[in-house]
Amino acid sequence: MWESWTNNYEHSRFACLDLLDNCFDATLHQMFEGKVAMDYLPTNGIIIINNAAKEIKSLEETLTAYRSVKGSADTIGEYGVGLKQACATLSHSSFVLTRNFNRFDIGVIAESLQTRSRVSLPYILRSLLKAS
Amino acid sequence: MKEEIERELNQHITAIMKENPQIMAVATKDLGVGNRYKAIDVLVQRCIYMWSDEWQDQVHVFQLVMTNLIHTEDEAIRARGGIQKRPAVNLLEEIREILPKYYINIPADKFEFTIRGQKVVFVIGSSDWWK
Repeated sequence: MWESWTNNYEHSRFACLDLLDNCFDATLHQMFEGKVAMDYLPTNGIIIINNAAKEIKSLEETLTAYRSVKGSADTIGEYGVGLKQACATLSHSSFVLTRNFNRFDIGVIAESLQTRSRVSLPYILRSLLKAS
Repeated sequence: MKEEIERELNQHITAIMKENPQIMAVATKDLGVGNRYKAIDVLVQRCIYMWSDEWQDQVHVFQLVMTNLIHTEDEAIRARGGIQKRPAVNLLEEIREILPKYYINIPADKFEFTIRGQKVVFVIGSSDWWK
């Protein structure tokens, strides 16, 4: 499965642009001040962070291997199959962090967690008490 | 309040890592460069950043931390015929260059895109961009 995810892009820049498509979908809404930032990590990594006009789908949905959260035309491009494919194309391991109010999710898309027979995209959902 | 959130995030991340050895292994290798405490610290700092001054007014925040990049290094070396020390930076600079060409009609107001702290300038979009 991992290998098939990496075969979708001719060049890694297109994988990155696909991820940015998700950011634009989430941030470009009427009367919403959208914000996207990219930076690098010293350990050969990059960070993409954005706010979102609507609630971000739970990683329970987003990181399900054979299902996308793309349920309607309104949500096309927001954190669906493209996320896994683009992450697998760009990096050996990615950490997905989402915040909705006081809830935060952490998910991992890592090549080393995959086996021939099983796709493993672990995620953890937690709530903060102090941030409510 | 901020200190309490930071403390709570620290406790959560530390617990998540201890309870999930597979995640701990990935983080230790790629975020901590072999050091599990550094890995936890990097992840905690990334989470805290989502509640930092820059993002604290937001209610929905998405952050993707990609480590151990694959193709950028190979492509950069191929393209320039030499060893690239900072492939992640090269990718970001490439994206900065091509982004305004790929995305037209991005609104200049009510939207901000930064790469390494510097604003990316898009072609000014029309007022009905959101349609």
